[in-house]
Amino acid sequence: MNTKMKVLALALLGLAGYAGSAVAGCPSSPVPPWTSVGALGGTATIVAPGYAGTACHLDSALTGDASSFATVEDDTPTAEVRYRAQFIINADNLANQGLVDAAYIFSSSGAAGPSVQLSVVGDGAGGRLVSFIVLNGAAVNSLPLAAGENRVEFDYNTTGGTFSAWVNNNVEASPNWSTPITGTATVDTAFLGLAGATPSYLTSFAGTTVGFDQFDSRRSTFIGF
Amino acid sequence: MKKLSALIALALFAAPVAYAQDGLSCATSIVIPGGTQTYSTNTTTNGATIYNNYGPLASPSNDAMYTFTTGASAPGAGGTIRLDSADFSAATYLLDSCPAGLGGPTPIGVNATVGGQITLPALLANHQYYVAITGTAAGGAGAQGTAGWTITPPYPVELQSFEVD
Repeated sequence: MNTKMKVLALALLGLAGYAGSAVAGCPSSPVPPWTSVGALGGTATIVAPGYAGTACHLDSALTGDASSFATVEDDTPTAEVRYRAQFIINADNLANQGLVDAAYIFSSSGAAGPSVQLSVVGDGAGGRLVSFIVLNGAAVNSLPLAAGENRVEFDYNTTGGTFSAWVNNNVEASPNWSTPITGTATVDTAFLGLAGATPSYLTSFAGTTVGFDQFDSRRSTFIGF
Repeated sequence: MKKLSALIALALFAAPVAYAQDGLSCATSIVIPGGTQTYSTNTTTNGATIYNNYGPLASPSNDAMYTFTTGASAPGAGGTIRLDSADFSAATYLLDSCPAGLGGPTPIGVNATVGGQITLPALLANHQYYVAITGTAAGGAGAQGTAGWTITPPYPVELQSFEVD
């Protein structure tokens, strides 16, 4: 698993992937560079191979009820008023995901509570969507995911009053979605992995893995690929 | 004569209700009485943004909110909320709370298939539940229109009789 974001300052400089696993095989734990890993009613494991050339990725699966989670946690952000993040998700195992089969895949929160949440849900036509829920900004939208690996990036900018999202899109000036936001909640913590699924998701996809890799977060610089 | 007077008095007393049960908020949810009930809900003409999301389910379109309260005996699993028809990408969600704010709770029952249904899980006694009629995440902000749906609650009809002598 390539987790660039251990310290925001390092990420700002565009430095230092987590390359140790490429040589030595997959680590048994994602900690470090993640602050912690939590799985209650689910599993969060590191497996080979990784995505887009890395050696390993994170497999997250839920097996319990709606309170279940299987996530890694990054506590290095500090009251961030602007927060960009990108990761790769591969949700191909969620075959025939229905319109109400949904689970969180990312969430961030701060002193004022949750700020940004991302979820995966079926599109009713055999595909799936990533939903962007800006809780403290009164904005929500969903964008299609392709089969296989998808790069999902967003820019939560409370000082500029905007939220923008890119899916498999390397052009900073042309986000797939951008909207004004009014929220001022900062980011102190980020979670990556499955959590908080709907009852139908848990019925249909108990134990089904969704893969994540190459998480990166920064304060202001477009991440891209 | 006494009964008539009492009814008039009750009607006068009931007239200046502070809010309507219009389904446009949690506080003004439309109360579902006991027994099987069938509704035709138009979220375009009688809907509002109550929540932007129901847990991980994005919901940028209008919502309409209904509510029912269980009795003193906790109902076991059973009963249904069936989506009979819809002219848009409609969804029905069963909620065990309706908190303030635009972030709604994760539903305890979900359905977005016409002809499909939510089978109610075991419910708590003396608890207020909510039924949201809204659009799916895939339908986006334009997912609003008319949905026909039927709720068959798991608790029996409680016939009540009032008489003023």
